[in-house]
Amino acid sequence: MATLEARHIAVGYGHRLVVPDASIRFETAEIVSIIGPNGSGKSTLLKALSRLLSVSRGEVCLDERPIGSYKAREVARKIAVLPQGATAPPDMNVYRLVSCGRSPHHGYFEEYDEHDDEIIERVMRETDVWKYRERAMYALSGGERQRVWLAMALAQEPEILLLDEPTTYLDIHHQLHLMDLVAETHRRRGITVIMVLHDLNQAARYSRRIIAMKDGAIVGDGTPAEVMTVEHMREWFGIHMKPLDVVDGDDRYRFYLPLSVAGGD
Amino acid sequence: MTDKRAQMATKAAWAMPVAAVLLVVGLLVGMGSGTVQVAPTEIVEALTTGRVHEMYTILYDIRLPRVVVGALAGINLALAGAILQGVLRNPLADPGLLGVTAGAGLAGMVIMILFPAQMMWVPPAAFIGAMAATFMVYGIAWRHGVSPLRLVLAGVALAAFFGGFMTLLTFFYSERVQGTVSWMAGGFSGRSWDYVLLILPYTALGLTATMFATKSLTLLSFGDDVARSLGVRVERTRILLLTLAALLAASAVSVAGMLGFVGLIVPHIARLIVGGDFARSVPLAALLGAVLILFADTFARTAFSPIEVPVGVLMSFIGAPFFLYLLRKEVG
Repeated sequence: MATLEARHIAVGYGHRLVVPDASIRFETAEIVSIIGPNGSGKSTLLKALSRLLSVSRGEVCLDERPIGSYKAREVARKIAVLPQGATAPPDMNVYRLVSCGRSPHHGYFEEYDEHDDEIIERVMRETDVWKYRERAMYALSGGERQRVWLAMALAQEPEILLLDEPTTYLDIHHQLHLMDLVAETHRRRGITVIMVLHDLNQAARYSRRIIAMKDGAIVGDGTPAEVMTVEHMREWFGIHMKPLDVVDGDDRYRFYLPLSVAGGD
Repeated sequence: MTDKRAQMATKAAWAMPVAAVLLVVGLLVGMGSGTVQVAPTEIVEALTTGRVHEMYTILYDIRLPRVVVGALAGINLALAGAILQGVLRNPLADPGLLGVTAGAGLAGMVIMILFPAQMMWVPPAAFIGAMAATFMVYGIAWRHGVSPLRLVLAGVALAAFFGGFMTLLTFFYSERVQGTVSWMAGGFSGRSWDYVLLILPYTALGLTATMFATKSLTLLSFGDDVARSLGVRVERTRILLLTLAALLAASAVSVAGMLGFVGLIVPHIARLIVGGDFARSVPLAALLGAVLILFADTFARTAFSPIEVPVGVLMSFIGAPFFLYLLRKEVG
């Protein structure tokens, strides 16, 4: 699998550095969640990793080579991103939108072949949007649209998939559906998934590795049990939180119940 | 609703053939109409056999270049409008919005008013004025790349600035204003084969680049972040598309004068027919641009005979209400 690494990167918007110095490495096919309070720089870090934002210091390396030394389309064949605020022309056909995920594999004047058709159909079936292929985007619900965007990212056949708060604004059914799809895609294709999540329970449940950010710095990196301790939650999020184990048949889940805003200490 | 829309996508397969037929009809009607009426069969005969038809001079030297220039200008304006509306993500975008038209207008007026003996320099000067205006707008709007909003604001400001100069010229040289009226309105009166040669390369360029443009516009329409993650070099692509649109608009304005609204209306009509897929709406817009100008110019030329009304006047009467309709639709 492809490796992705940030080496002492500084990144921000204009002159305002959001993340002054961060280093992180991804080298195994895993599901990683980045958590942190608002303004902690988690989305900024993700954007730097996906070269949506360029770094002002340090470098991001894909397979040990600076990401800037690749052609833009080469990167797009290895890394797919589902950013926040993706917009589609409302009357765009769903199939057509997903098919654009194949564009990094072709030049401007190449037509798509059967191989592309197969991949598009496969990812659309996997994300459960094949039944909407004839529809216009505006006719879908928010959750369905998000699955269409996921299908488009998967059509790129990436080795690394980056998701920026993919479940925000979705109802609980669509949140779980989307996260299950992501987990299944990871299992089936061995794709590395790196995602920014607001929901701590989703982060703990779907990923083996959690990266915590606070004030632009990476403050935690480990398994959910290591990272999501009562002390850390108080320190980073300012909340009083209690872990709770739930058994459902053979499945065991650990939930983190946010009980109250932590008092000043 | 959804099924209807899905059906529409396939149903509108008729759009391109119908537009192509309308184009041919428009060419024949345009060539046949005037003080001397010529039947379509006679037109074809006169032009194909090459025999010296009594109408040959009127057809070949006057009417044919005029309809061809009109059709090419229509293609260029419609393509420019379709590209601008896509890149700027603004359904009200139009070549006039980038300051292109005002730049061309000012340059043309400077020649016509200050150097009236050098009239043949009007088209090239207008072209240079249009491109200069475009670069000025980029320059003003540039800050680590060009954002659509800054570009539109810079365009509007520069157009107003150039408009001030134009008014100043008409004020100081009010006795020479008469000759500039039809240029300001925009039209194709007396356009010869020279004008065809002037605009043809740009139409060829525009049509060749259509496939590049439609693919890029589709990817850019997903937002900068998605486009970038699909491997599009967003800034570079946007500049290329804007330059293409500016070239198309500048070449059209240089032969037609300040002809407005074509670039605004036609892409909308194309989208109403085939939907928002650029791969289908942009080529259709190109064809419909030619069709619209052909019929509008023929109408404006013959309806008030013997007075020939510049087609730009007619376009304003059609275009301004259409613009208001779009505005209300957007706001509502």
